[in-house]
Amino acid sequence: MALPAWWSRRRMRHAPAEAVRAYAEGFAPAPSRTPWREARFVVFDTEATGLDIGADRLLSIAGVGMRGDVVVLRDSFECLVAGDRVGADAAPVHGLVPQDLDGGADEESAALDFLGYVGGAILVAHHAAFDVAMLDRCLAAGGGRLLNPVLDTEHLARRLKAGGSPGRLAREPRVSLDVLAARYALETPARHTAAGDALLTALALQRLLHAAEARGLATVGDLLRR
Amino acid sequence: MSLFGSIVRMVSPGMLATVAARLGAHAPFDALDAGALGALAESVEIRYAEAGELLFREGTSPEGHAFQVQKGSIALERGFDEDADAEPVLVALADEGDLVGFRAHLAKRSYAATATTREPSLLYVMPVAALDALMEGNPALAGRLAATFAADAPLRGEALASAVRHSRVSRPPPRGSVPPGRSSQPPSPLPALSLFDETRNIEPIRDLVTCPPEASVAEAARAMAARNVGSILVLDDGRRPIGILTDSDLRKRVVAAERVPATTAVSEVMSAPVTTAPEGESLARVLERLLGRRLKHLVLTEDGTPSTAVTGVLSEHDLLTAHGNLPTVVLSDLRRARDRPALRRARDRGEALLQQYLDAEISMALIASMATAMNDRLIRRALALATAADAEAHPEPLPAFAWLSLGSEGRGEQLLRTDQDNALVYADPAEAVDAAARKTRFLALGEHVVSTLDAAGFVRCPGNIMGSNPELCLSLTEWKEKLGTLIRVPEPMALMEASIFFDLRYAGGDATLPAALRVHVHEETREAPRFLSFLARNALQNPPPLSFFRGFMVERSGTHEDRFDVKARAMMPLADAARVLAVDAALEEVGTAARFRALGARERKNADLYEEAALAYELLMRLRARSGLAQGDSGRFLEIEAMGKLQRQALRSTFAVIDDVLTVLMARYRTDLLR
Repeated sequence: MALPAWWSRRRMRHAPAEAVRAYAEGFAPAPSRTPWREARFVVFDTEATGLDIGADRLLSIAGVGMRGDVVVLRDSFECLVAGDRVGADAAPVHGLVPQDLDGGADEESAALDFLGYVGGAILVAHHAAFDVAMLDRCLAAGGGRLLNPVLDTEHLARRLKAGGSPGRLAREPRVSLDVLAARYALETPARHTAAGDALLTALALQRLLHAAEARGLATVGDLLRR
Repeated sequence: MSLFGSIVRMVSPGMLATVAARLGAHAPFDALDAGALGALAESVEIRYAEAGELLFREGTSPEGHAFQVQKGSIALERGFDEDADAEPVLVALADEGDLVGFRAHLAKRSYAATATTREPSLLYVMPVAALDALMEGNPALAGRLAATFAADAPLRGEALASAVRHSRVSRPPPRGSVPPGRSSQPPSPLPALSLFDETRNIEPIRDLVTCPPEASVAEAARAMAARNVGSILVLDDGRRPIGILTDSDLRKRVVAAERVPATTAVSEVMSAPVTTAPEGESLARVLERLLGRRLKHLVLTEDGTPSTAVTGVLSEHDLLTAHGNLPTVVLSDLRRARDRPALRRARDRGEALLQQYLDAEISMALIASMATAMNDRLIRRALALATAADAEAHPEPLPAFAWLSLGSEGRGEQLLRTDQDNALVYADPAEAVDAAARKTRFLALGEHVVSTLDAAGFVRCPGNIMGSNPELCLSLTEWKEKLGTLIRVPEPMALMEASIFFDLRYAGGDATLPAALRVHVHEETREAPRFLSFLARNALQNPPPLSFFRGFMVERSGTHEDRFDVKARAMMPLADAARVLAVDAALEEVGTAARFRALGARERKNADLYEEAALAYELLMRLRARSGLAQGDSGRFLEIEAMGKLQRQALRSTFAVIDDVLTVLMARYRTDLLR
């Protein structure tokens, strides 16, 4: 994917503790009685070198905001972790100093930018636990972690299918993003990039939200109940 | 946006690229460059609507956004009211790629219809301000946008004009689909848009050879010889053009007239008045003027009229040598053809040329006037061959007569060679006893012309509408009686057949005969207003369908067809309507577009509608000619699936115009009372 010109501009380093404090102090999630149509969701995806939260490193984060069930492109976010993307050889070209390329620092910077973007939104991801854990690990050095309510589309899809029966919910097979895409006939361009998967998840969430509404789930609290 | 003072703008380039690609998959956004598409993508919100969701309501103010259908479809209905029993009227269906809701904003009017999703639909919602901003810097996009939102509400006015212009920027018909035997020469690739750019301005001759009106013919001829030019412009004291003296004037009016002395004033032998035009017209417009009026020169003046000073001259010769001399070559070959095979060869070349011009998106008015100029010249040549044969058989001179082109050829709208529709009118014999002999003589002449035309590729009319038919080879008085009967005693069936007689155009011979016939028709129709009602009702026989939806044509009855009879369902209603209105207004114009434009000049109230109708008709002519060349037939049936989206939208945009024209007819001629 070609990056726009502004992307190569040198990213500013944040003072991690300050950034985490600003996020925590400004954190104001929607009350659970808020109708979900009035809430802001951030549907996101992370790409990492593997599935081991401790050993694998963050490669990219992308997210897109939704106002209720409407996907708002202007409210989107994408960050590639420079250290892994360009490698040490490319550093002078991008004007990155060596400590920027130290994987941890850049992962943290990306995660901090994401914190600022997310604010108090409801976080949504497919198999969200992994993405949240990955970001929390990146934020830990600066004393931060995600405070947002989290909605897992995988869980929501199973829950809606089970129709409120805990027994059936437990027996429902896991639903991959590809299965959801096929179910709703969604196109899947740029699959397995953070941006492609986040947008695909957002379009799947639109359908899930309509299904939820049909079952009488109208508020943020209704959606988040597990 | 980052809270932490980062200057990096946080909009996902990956998502923008995905959305931009989807946006740009459809007209008009397919014409945008990556930068503009990215900017538009950033303003997009994606909405998923279940079937039956209301998007906007008829009569309410535009809400500041437009919808591009990504998946699903939107119904636009008038008179929509959930509580009422009355059925809403479906006015349009928007499917994948259509843009809905923008027109009301552009027109600064309330929504003309209620929009609801017909099935679950994925919609890209864009603020109209983003579209406005795009159009501001990109007039070409504005035109394409206009063509696209046809689905939103009927496309009208400037928007229709844009659609017509942009319908021309479409793929050429596939080559190789022309069956063998047709258009015998493969058209050589015409470097059309470079060599023959209709929008290019032409540099006129500025270094003019002129003389005052009192100059002698000898002086004028010397000036012409000294400068080696074929004409001299005659100007008054204020450098205003009052005439032109050409080589041909010198030959015919001075040398051949013998007794004209060389001291004669130029003003007595010059051609006057001259045809003037303003500066800066496009090549297409200039050629149209020249071909249409058979002029050799166009005099440019300060304000385009003869009452201001000359600024330059455009000559047909210079134009056509500078811009590709193919049309003149064909025309002069037609003029000089000695026999039928030579006429055929010249007309075949002419057809190849027309095909290239169609492919090159030259204006329809120019293409039609070229085709008509070629056909007229061919007919004139056929008449010359016929009168030569007649002269051999008859020592006494041939009485005055005129050859009439009827139907589409009469309207000057025949782009491709189809079957003949013509007739012959001759001067009344002084003595009744001569009538039979005269008729026999003209029937022979008519048969000679018809068989020449047949040999040149215009097959004989299966309905025998030809000048060789005793019913259609009549004296002026007989013609007046025939048309008078049709007008006074109209019968629906007879009228369908007869309507072509009201599209008659003088094609050669004595022009005073058809002029007298036209005056007579006008007088008769004034006496018989019922006739116009019948003619109007005829126009209402075959209204256009509602719309196209995906690959199908949607009828008002709800049925679907996958091909479209563009002649019966779109062109004939317009041509019929133009005929009624033109006959009523006693217009001289015979072409459908020309009739609508002339009507617009008289009826200010309907001027916009008539201009739209003229544009729509030109668009339909082009679609049909393209389809005909591609399919190797008359082009009458369009395969809807095979048309591009933009073409389909442009075609669909003509339906609303046709409907409005038919509504005018219904109201004016009270056709409801005839049922």
